[in-house]
Amino acid sequence: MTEPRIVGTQPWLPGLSRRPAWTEPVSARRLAALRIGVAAVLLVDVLGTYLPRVDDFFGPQSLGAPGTFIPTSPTLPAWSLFAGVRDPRVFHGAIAVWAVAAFFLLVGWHARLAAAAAWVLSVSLVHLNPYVHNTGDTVRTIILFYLMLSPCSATWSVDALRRRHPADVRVPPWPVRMLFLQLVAVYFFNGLYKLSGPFWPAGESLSYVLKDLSIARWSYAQLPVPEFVLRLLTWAVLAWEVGFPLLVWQRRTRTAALVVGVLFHLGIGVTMEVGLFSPYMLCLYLPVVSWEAWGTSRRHATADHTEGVHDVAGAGVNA
Amino acid sequence: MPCSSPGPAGPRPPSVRQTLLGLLVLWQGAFLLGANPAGLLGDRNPEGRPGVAVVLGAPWRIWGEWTGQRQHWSMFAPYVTTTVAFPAVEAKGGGAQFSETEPASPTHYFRPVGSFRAQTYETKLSKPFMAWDAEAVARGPEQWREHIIQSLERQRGPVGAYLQWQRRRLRDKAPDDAMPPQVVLKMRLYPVSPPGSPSPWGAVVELPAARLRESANGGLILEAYDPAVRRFRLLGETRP
Repeated sequence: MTEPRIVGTQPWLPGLSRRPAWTEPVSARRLAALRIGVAAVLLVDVLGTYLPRVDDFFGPQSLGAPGTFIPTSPTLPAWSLFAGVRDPRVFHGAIAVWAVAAFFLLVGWHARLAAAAAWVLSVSLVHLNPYVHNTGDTVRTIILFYLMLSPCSATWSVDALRRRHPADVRVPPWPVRMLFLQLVAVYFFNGLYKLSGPFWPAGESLSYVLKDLSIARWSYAQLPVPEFVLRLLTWAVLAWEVGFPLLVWQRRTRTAALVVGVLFHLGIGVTMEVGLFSPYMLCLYLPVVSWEAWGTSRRHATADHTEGVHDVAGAGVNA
Repeated sequence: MPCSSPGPAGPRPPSVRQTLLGLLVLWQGAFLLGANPAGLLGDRNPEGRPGVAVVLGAPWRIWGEWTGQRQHWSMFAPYVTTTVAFPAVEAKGGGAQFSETEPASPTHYFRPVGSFRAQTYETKLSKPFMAWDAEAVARGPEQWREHIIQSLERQRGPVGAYLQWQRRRLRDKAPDDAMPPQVVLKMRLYPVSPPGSPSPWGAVVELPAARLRESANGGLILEAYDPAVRRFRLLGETRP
């Protein structure tokens, strides 16, 4: 068996240099899966939700007309490449560039440059009109931020083909670990916010959420759910979110906690129109899957599966 | 792409690239561990005083905003929507533009995938009115007035942009007519019934919120509706 090739820079991490979860390279397929997943969702996002309404959201006489949200000159921290831009053709061009960047990221051609371009456009447009953006767009921007800094095209990419990378390519683990920490933070702090209000502990939240006429996919009157079921689901979501760090820390409960997470986002995506929040969140699960098992022999796969289970940040679920 | 073997920690000092990347990773870790609790504790300071959490969290908040990584994870929390609000715009002399999101019938609709961006705008615009509660407003009308006026002042930009956008859409529906000289933003409120109630929603309530009208010099005047005196008051003026 040939030695795996390691691509990318291992950062200097004082205090973590003896922790294998932060030093032992992981399969490059984990980052590649994330790159492909988020690029695919981004492409759908740009072509499906921005392009048809670009004139409504950006530019003169739009919902995000110059001066509506940020001053007409760039400021920190709410900077935007398009602050003060009044020519609608610029926004059409930006959307076209964004789509091209998403495609390059998808196929892994100059992937880090494509991720950087996509990140700059993402931040610029979110700052220009924050009212048409939601949490899903924040998740998208965070993923792009990490992709532009990491060797995300070390495999399953045009870049890898051009550089003739072997089948077994590994990358430093830091982007996978950091994104996992981000995933944990999303759920845990969501849970704490929920605990701090009266509705979730009382078990009433999902009843209100499903009756919210602005986001519910269909009318609650068409498909009412028994209140005791909603109460149990409310408490289950609360317990899962608050307990998420502990659940993924324990190897026994890790896979179940992650599977619940996937089902949770599928449930949100089906029952509520909250945009691409669910698809982008599901992308955060892609580096957790042990993609190294795909297309490799059982012996090789078994060996690979032993990596990434050192601690919570190294969570791994077999594909 | 540079390739370097990480290997076990050895005597060789880290390169500049490794050091810079390491500092960024450590900063990101501190950001995740610091920004989230700071945001949570800051939000629990209802008076808005710059508490310790707000002050200490400032560098992380700025970093989060600048890089598009804002850490504020509070979906349907700590409060849920107990009053759903949809904006509607009425033109002087006839014509109205309802929200794309408001269903024609609350008891029978299906919302397709991908319609969320305009809906998100309208939800954020309507947020102050989601605090509406008939009993609470009757008990404290002055508090409600203060809340609404202050919120509309803060949202002057998006309220003005929304009214101008809808005004043009009203004109586009009848291109032969002139631009409506005045449009009024109203909020259509659906109180959500608590669990166990016989009907999911209460009766629809319609409240005026803001007005956009042409001024004598051809500019546009934006006004907020003051529920205490039942009149519009100036929020801002723009040139034509």
